[in-house]
Amino acid sequence: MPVSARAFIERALEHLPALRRVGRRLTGSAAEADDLVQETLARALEQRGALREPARLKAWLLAVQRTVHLNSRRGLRPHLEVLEGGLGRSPPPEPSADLEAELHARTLSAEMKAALESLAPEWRDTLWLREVEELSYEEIAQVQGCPVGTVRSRLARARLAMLDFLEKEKAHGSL
Amino acid sequence: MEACSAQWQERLSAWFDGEAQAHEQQAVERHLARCAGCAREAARYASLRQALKAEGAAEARVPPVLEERVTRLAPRSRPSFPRRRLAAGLAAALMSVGVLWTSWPSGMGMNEALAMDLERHHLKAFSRVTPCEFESSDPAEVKAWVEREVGYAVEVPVVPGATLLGARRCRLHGKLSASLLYRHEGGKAMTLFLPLPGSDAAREAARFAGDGPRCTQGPVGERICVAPRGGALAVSELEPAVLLAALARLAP
Repeated sequence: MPVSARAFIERALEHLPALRRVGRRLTGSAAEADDLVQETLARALEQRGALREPARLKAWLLAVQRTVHLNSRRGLRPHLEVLEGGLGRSPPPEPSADLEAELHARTLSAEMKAALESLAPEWRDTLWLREVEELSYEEIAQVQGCPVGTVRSRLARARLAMLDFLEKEKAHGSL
Repeated sequence: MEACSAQWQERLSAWFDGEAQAHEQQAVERHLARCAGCAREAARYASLRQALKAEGAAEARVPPVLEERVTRLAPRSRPSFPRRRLAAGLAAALMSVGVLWTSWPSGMGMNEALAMDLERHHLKAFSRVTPCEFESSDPAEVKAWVEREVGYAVEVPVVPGATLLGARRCRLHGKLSASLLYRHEGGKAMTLFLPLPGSDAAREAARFAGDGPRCTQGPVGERICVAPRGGALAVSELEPAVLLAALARLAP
């Protein structure tokens, strides 16, 4: 029997920082990431009966988040949150005075940011899930919907590419 | 300078993560003892990990407003007696006034996708600081906004004991639909969904209602009631009688 909605949300709150960090990498925007996190948790709440291993809640939530994000991008499922800016209009731009975004830009050092951005998105996400979110290979495979062997290979390549990038930048003295 | 060969890169990376298999782990450790290139590479992995963790730590703060939005997704707790007893009691009470109650899940229940969408729209709207896209307590203004933005005419009822907050657009079965948002005395939220007559959602609601008003509980636990004709739906944590009273304000 699934846990109560209240208990589920209380447990999920522990993972808000991770969902938000990964959401920002998926959407590229703080405001969109927050909407994605909310949508993810609404979906997860409905589907909480499908959570087989409660100890792996974080990985499961990140997998739900990825699905919600991909579905919204692919248009496979209609946007549940309709059109904040009005029908037919483009989404509202990110506020330029977004203090949080500014703080984020400041804290994510230019060097690391450039190195992360130089990676293929799948490699970058895999590296982030491992090093920052501390997921196991199996959990990353669950989140990314790929075999464990792919995770292993992506991590090795991502590390190599990132370290090479940082090394070259250092050698050129551009940072 | 001796470099870590491509052959060892992947094994070393897995070993560094503690994800190498036992035999592989031993092989990597033997190799590290004699390969300066790989030992240096492992040290670089550790520096990279430290730097990435620092980046992650800088993003650990969650704005209180997001936490509040998420917390509001969970319906407030209900009386602690067993849900089955509650459902049985509720069903009996509703039957006595000619309302059919369907427990969730049920073979003769509401279409699951529709029930989920109704609950999600309701909970998401009320988890926001401003639940409505268009805010007004004037039914005529709300009616005009819905007609302009959603593209069809709706009735905006005055519900006794509740304040009209405004309206939002939503999608039910993929079609743009109108929803009216109310707050009852005591602060409890209610959404009236008014799908376009003849749309899939309206037909599904009418099929569920059959000949008389009918109520059910959605997967998250909100109550959903449907008027017998027209396909209007009400969603709230309030008692079904309150939802039905609101639906009764709509013309048959």
